[in-house]
This record gives sequence, C-alpha cells and structure tokens, in this order.
Amino acid sequence: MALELIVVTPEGQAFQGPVESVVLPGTEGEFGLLAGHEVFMTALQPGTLTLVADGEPQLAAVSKGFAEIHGDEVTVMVGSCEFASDIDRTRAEVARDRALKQLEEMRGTAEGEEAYQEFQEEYSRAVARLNVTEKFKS
Amino acid sequence: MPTLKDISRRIRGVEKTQQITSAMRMVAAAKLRRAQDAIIAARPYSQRMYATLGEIGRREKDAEHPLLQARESQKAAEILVVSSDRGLCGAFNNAVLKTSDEAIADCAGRYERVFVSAVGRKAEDYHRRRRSDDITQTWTDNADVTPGQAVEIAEHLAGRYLAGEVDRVIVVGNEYVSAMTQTPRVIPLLPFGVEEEVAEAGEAPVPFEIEPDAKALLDVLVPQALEFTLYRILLENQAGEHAARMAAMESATRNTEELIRTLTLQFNRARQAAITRELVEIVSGAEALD
Repeated sequence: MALELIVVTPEGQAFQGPVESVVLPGTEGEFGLLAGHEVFMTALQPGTLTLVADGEPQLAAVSKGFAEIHGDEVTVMVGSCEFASDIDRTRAEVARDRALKQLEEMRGTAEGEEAYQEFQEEYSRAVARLNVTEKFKS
Repeated sequence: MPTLKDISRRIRGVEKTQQITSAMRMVAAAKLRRAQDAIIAARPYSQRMYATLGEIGRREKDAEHPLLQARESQKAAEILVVSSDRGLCGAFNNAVLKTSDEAIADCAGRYERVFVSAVGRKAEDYHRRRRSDDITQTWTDNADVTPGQAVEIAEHLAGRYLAGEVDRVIVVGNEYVSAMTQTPRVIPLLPFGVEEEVAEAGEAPVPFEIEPDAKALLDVLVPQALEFTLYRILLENQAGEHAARMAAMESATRNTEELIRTLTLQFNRARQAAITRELVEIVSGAEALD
C-alpha cells in the first residue's frame, strides 16, 4: 500500500505522488511515516524532507510549515521546498555564511530575541539546503 | 490650414506612439499570463491552508493566538494600501487610492490615530503628499512578487499589532476579478479572522492528534496564513496591474489607428487640393498666353 504525498508551497505544488515512506523534520524531531499512520498534525521546522519513491530516496530542503497526516495521505505545507537537484550549492553557501555572520553580530548587541530568531531561522534554512546537497552527492 | 509636411510629420509621430502602445500592450499581456499562472499555482496551498485552519479552529475552540484576538481598545488602526509602481494602467491605481481615502476617513471616525503603510510607488507618492506623518513603512520598486515580500510585510504588520501599536489592520487593494475587471476591495487583516474560513471548509471532522499541541501548531499556522493572505493580495495586485495596463494600451492603440485614419484623409485631401491648385494655375497661365 502506497502513501500519497502532497507538498504544497505558495509558489505551487512541489510534489505529488505515491511514495513508500517519507521522513519529515518536525519541531519535536524528525519522524518517519509509512502508509496507515495514525491521523495527526504537526508543525515542521526548516530541515530535510526525505521521501522514498520506487525504491529511490529523494531529498528536499523545506522551510518551516506543518504537516497533516490523514491515513494514507500526507499533506506538507511549507513556505518553500527545494529538491536536491535544484539547489545551487554556492548560493546556499553564501546564504549560510551571511546568516552566520549576522548571527554573530547579533550576539554582541542588545537587538533582542526577535531579530536573533529571524537570522537563526535563515541560518537553519541555509544549513538544511547544504545538508541536502551533501547527502545527494554521496 | 496645416501644410502637407505638417500633416505627414504628425502621422509619423502618431505611428511612433502606436508602436510604443502596442509594444506595451504585448508586454503587459505576457506579464499578465505569468501573474495568472502564479495565482493558479498558489491555489492548492490556499485551499489546504484555510481548510486546516478551519479544522483546527473547529476542533480546538479554546485554542488562542494573539493575532486572532480582537481588541477592545480603539486607539489606532493601520491601513495598508496596495498599488502598482508604475502608471499607464487606466484607472487601476486611482480606484484603489480613492477607496483607501474612504477607508482612512472611515477609520478616522472610530480610531484616535490612523497609520498608513504602502506597497507600490503610486500609493506611496499619493499618501506621502497627504499624510506623510502617518506613514509607517513603504515597499516599492518590487519586480515580481515573491513570498519573501509578503513575509516582510506580514512581519511589519504583525509586529505592530502584537506590540499594541495598532488595534486593527486593514488592507486596501485591487481584487483581480478577470482580465477585464479589477475591483478595489477593503480587506480586514488583523485580528486575523478564522471564522469566515471555517464555513468554507466542509468535510466532517476526523479525530486526530496534534503534536506537540494546538497552541504550538497555531504559532506556526497563524503567521503562515497571514503571510499567505498578503502574498495572495500582492499576486492579485500584480495580475490586476498588468490586466489594466493591457486594456489601457489596447484602447490607446485603437485611438492611434483612428487618428492615423483621420490624418491620412486630411493629408490626401490637402494633397489633392494642392494638385488642383497647381493645375488651375497651369491652365490659367496657358490661357493667358493664348
């Protein structure tokens, strides 16, 4: 029995199709899903989405969002979803370094939690993108 | 009476204008198609988003989020006016600006202070001339609409709302009804309304678990829904702008055709008159010799 995975972003449907399993970056840690999973709903943090379709694993970097699991249907709603093959490594590296630099600068100042969190988010998104390409290569 | 040369110069001038307007029409048509595609691409996300929000709203009646809570106090309101950066698109911007004036006047009666923020150069220029002290932020010269822009705007508005600087946020923008029609609309944004969306989402509720809990999920869901709502408003504005420009340029091109026809007629008439005059001169000159 296959699991139907739908990934939607504001810019369009990023993925739709049957998969054997999918691993999602939940706020409480990564979790894997197989067909017939219990019905539930959870928030996602920026990270790696791994899906297995036709025995082939595929990786994608997702930003924050949430997932809804309805029996054999998994709906993932995220701000962005980029598959490993579409990610530009150098651009991702630049983004990570920029975010890291801003994070470091924040640390010294009293700019407040909010700004810090924003860059933290940016940083983890950039790292997620890089991780995805890394795994994709090997 | 304009000379032949004058008329032909004018015809050439009008032809140049026609080239520009018809080129602009074609560019607008291409951009409109892209903008429409973006709206269609956002549709599945939109349906899921509101369905999920509705489901949670129905299930967790007491689930609360600061952005969902209406305030008793009526100290200040903020109006976000969404327009295009450029003109030459008919009444598109004027309609929105007029509606925004009405909305501001309406809020001024109920709130002590009305702030304005603007998307698009037209809205910025207009309101800066009228009420520059009330402007909190503007976003202009945006190329294509991206979710990132919507996030920026959402952060600004939600930030002010959460900080208690404003008690209500309203958006005034054009709704893209069709390629022929764009209607300015006043959309209440904050407090964020789940109620209307609940009615839209059908489906019988299925019991399910929420992890870690409803509050944590709402913390993610509500800002995301807010960002998305703004994204959709920006997309509609973009599509509407191109549609309006396309229509304006189409009628401008038609007008130049008309003008060219009239001028050509005038030109031919003037030419014929000149020929006749010359003939008369020649004939009468020949007669005088006889």
